[in-house]
Amino acid sequence: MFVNPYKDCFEKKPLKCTFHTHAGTGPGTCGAYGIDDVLALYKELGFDSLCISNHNLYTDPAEYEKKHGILLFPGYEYTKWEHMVCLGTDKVLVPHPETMAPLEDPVTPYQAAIDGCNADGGFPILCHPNWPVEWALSKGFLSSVHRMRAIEAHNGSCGSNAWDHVLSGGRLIWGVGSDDFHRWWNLARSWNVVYADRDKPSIMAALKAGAFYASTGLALQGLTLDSDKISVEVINPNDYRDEFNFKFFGADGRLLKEVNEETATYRLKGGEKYVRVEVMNNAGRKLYTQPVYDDEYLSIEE
Amino acid sequence: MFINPYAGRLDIKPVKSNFHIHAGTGPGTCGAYEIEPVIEAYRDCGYGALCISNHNLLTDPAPYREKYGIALLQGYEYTTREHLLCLGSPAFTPIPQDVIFRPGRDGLEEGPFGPVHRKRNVENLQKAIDDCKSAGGYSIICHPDCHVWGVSRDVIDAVGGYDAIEILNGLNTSDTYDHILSKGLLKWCTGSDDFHRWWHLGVCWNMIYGEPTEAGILEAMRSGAMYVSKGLSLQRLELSDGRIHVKVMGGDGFEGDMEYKFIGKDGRVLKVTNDTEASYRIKGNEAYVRLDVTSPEGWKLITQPVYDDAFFTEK
Ligand SMILES: [Zn+2]
Ligand SMILES: [Zn+2]
Ligand SMILES: [Zn+2]
Ligand SMILES: [Zn+2]
Repeated sequence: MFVNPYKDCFEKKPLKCTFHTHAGTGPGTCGAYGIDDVLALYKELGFDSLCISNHNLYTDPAEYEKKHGILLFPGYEYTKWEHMVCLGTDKVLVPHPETMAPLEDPVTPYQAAIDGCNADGGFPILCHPNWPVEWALSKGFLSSVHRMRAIEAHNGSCGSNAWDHVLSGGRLIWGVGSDDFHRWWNLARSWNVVYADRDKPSIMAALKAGAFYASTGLALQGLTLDSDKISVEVINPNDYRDEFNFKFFGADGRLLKEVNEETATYRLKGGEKYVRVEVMNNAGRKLYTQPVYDDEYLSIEE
Repeated sequence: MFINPYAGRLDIKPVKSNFHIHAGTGPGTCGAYEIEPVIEAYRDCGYGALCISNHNLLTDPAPYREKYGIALLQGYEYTTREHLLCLGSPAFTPIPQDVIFRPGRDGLEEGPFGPVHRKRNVENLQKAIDDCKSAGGYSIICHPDCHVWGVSRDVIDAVGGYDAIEILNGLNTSDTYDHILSKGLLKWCTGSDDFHRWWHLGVCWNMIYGEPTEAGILEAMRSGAMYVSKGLSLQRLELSDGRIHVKVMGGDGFEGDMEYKFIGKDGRVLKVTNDTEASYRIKGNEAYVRLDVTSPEGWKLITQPVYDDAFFTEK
């Protein structure tokens, strides 16, 4: 049966969240600016929640959370050749965290970090699979690691092909948008809109349920599944133009349908393992929806 | 005869440039940060030419030129209901009191996205264009035909003598650009951050095939030897054997499939190719052919038109 992760979402006031931010200039940090300066700008931009995710370094968010009135998840970015935001954990599980040098066996420690993050009730996000080159994280690696909950669909480069690879293997993971903030020119290039109450347990539950989408500027107004019809409605909050390019993708990244209209629909033919939508306007602003999926084929890995 | 403004230029290392920056916190300025940290951040982001273009305030960049070692054009943003960047000259055209830019104050009426100035002043806009030109400067119509501060089509149609329009400044206003070109007016297109706050930095810029000096930049901009980028880089744009050959790559040398859209008179889409490069055979009646290239992640590049010089009456 096809499942729509956005069912019941649109009554909620959406929250603006990003989970991949490098900040702080102390020893071991990788930021270019102080945490307070960075948080003040995200706050001003209307972000409800974020995570200071420094390379191989946990940042205690407690004092900043209170000061800035922004919900801060604990976390860090696992950083060898393979990167991963371990959201919602305070334990840095990285061998030799002082170096980012590639490991001879990249899978075992990466898997341990995923499992540790999940054990803490967290949300492991596989990062920028196509950086610095396409398939930087190979299909072999993607198939060897298990129980990650999400992948960056957009972080400068596009992660759609790696995401489709995992989904097509029957493993349900969600697509995340990250600006991977290091410098001012990374600020708010890509984020997540999460349908949750404004508290951390509710946001974490929404992330795990796929009740969010990744955006680089467009806003989702509706995504419904009515028997076999998927309908998508999008706006650009800053524009009066109302035509968008909708691309419906299925298993193996196959383009199922492309529409240039105000809204778009797709009729399930049966046999699609999943259908996910990427929408773009003429200025290159995008959004990536989570897949509407067939629960006979896809499930979250236990 | 079709003319390629990039001919003989692509061997020059292009200069990354943005001419629409609001900075400085002194009296009359409209910036949120001081000029120096803003210039420094742009330099760190790889820019080689900038203009501090505050609303109705001319900034002398001389003190910063030596310190930062990049080309800084003198200029300002003429700001009434209509906005115009005046670059590369000391010209400054005063604004009549009744149309002066006063955000959040009187003289406003409701527009579709918030308050807009009630009064238009086409004559004074034309004067600003003319003053800039006669002082050796370069003028760009800002964020045309879009939301709150847009210069509307009828005003654009009523003025002449400007050099370019902003085609990417938050929105893509290519429909207005095609409208201008299709009337036989050869104007160039630029992209801008319209920098006010840190999150505007490095969104959209111009790559200019010219010497990295004020004079070199202006010369290249006059001949259209530049393109608009939001992340992509131009590798090739040639006109040979009646065909346009073009190749675009990702900002960090990433090669992949992109959507190449060839656009002609009245904004007609002449051809769309999804590949690592593209070409188009000129039929002869296009008036102009320009390219809008988009990567799957939404990075963009917009070229100047390859144009039929017999079609264009104002150059
Ligand atoms: Zn990373
Ligand atoms: Zn990172
Ligand atoms: Zn303006
Ligand atoms: Zn401006």
